[in-house]
Amino acid sequence: MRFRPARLASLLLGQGLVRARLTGLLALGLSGCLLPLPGDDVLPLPDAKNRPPRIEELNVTPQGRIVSLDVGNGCVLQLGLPVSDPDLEDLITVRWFVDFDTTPVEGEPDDTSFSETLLVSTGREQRGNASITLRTNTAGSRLATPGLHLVEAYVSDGRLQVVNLDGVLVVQPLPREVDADGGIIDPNYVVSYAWFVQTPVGCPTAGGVP
Amino acid sequence: MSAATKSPGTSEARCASGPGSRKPPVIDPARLGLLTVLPLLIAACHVVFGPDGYPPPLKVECTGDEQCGPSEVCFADGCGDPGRDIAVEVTPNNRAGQHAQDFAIERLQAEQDFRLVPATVLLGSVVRTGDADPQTGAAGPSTLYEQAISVRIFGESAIIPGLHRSFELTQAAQGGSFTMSAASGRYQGTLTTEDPSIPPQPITVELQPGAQTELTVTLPAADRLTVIRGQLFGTLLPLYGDTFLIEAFSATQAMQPVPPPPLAQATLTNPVNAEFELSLPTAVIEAGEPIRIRATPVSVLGLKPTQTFEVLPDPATMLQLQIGPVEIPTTLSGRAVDGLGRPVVNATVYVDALTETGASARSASVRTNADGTFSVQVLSNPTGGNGIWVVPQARHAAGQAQFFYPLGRDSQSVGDLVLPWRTPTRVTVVSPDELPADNALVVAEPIDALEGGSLPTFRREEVTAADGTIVLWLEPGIYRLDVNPGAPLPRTSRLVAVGSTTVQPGQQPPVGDVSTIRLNRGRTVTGKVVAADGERPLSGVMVRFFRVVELNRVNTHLLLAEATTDANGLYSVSLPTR
Repeated sequence: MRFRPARLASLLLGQGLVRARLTGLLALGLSGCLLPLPGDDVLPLPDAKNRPPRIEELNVTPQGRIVSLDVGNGCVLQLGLPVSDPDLEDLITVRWFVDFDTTPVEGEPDDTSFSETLLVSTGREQRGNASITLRTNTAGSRLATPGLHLVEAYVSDGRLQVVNLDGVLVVQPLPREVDADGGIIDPNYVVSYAWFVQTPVGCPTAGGVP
Repeated sequence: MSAATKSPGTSEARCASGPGSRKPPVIDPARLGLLTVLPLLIAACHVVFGPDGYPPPLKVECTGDEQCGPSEVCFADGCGDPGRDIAVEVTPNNRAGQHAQDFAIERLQAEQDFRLVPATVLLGSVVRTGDADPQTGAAGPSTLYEQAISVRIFGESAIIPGLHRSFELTQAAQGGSFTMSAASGRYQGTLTTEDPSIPPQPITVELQPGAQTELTVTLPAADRLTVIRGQLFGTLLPLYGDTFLIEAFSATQAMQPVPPPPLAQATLTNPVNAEFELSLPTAVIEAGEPIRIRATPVSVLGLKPTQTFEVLPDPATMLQLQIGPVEIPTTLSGRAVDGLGRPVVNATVYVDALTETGASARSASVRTNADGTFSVQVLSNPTGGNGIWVVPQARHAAGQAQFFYPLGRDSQSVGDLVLPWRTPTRVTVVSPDELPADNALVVAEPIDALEGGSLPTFRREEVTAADGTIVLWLEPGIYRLDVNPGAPLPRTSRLVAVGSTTVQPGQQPPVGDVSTIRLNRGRTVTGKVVAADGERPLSGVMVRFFRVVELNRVNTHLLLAEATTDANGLYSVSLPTR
């Protein structure tokens, strides 16, 4: 038997066929509309959240985690850290530490970073190399002392700070957005990389004293 | 107590050209000494130079594109064709042993594709000469050396001068050969055996792109090595309980700026009696010439001195080497303050001691407290020279200095050490259309010292404000200013000399201006990087464009742009153009 919606509506509603057709069409049309209930507002899309930067480890230079300075090369060390970030407008901050001592000393300030590198927007995820040249012949060079040193790079998509957390110094990014109570709504991120650097005897120093 | 800083002397010899001046004076380059012919751009009229006009007035090639030919661009090294003198470093995957490959670009095109070659490899074999025949004296047959070795090479690209590279390999006992992946370039280095009796063997090799270069290293026969013995003494007695590193060098070659290759593997003294042994080539003994032996403390760094001795090696005699002075360490304390008398916190402090006998010692480094005070253990050295280095943090307005004091046998305080100011230097960046360039990254990279000064310790990086300016507090020195405005404009570089400043006590120095840096216009260069098969696109490849330049009669490079290939092997960079 062939199904006829208008006839079914006429029987159910007890109305004429034409009026039932009109009622059916109206009901059919209205069924396609989602009418908001009173007080039930449509919520906007959530804000895009920050995403972390990334160190492209394949092309970090030097590739080895243990690096020896060459006296014949003047004990100059060039470090390169390719960085990418999916958030194209983020300013990338790289804080470099040499022999970062995580033990706070009473009365001493906490931030002992050696240098800071910034990577501006390039319009692409790849931001290029965060690079630094370390030497032993500059005044105060922590690499000048013969022996093993730890060089660390902290990469963040926000500004970095060194804070004392329960007696241990840690490198943290300042949050991007906080609520009124100080809770973090949108965090910044930090990733790190490290090399052990062996300084041999005989590297040039400022003042010529080994 | 008086303090003398080692900062360059100052006078009121101001530079002649003001900010915005287009024709700075050209001075005799011969006066530039080591900095000769650096084509430097500076118009920092509030930067005060030394008594002889030092830093010397600088030869300025150009300050902007308008001073160059119609198709030229003003680079850090002067006007140049932006399409020539370009070299590109392409790095596929360092981790996988696919190291950098270099390409010289004869004429830059809008599309620059790169087809890589197979990995560059050093194939080494290690042989050892056999002992001589006792009857005939003829050298014995060579055999493969199958024990553990380490190989270190360092050098630079053959195409991009000044681009340093180093590689190293350590391997356990194998069949007398080694394989090392490396970037192409010219290298020197050392092969060292785990057997301490065999002296390190120097290596010189040039690695061609994509080639497998063979190298044979020949170790000396055991009967051509001779052991000499020695003992370190303090004032009268051997140095009990301390360990020193002992090295041997030829005395006929200078130790500065780079010491010659070692004659023997370095060794440690016996902590019980300070005795040591060195295994030297017998030929060195037979030559009858003196050698240098350097002793460096490793267990008591800074509180015992490093000393170099010139001795005649004799296997029949125990060398007696007196090091000194060796005395009880003393404590040095003081306070670091800036020109306004405020404490300088978190500065690095250490002491260099040079004794009358030619020994030297560098103390451990300490940091100044929140009130600027410090305390450091030092080698007592009453009659020698003692320099107290104070190096503030990179962002501080106070600069580094060295103060000289006699260091007695008792603890002493040196009082307040007043640090000189760093030179406040304003950099102004404008777009090619002369509009302020905000949010441009300005990097001040120290590349050389001024005469009589030391190489600046810190690189500084800041982003320009809305008016396109930034003020950097810089140590006196030669800097390369790299300005990276971000896409789509290219990176622009200039060289500047920053002198020291002189101000009345209690005043801060005025800000000096480097002449305005106008950013170069950019052209987009795109391309594709493919594997050696010519078809397979390579993703994640780092591509860096350099300009090959000559500075101070030294060939070097300037980074122009860098990019990484996408999943299709494609890259895009912005390079300078007119």
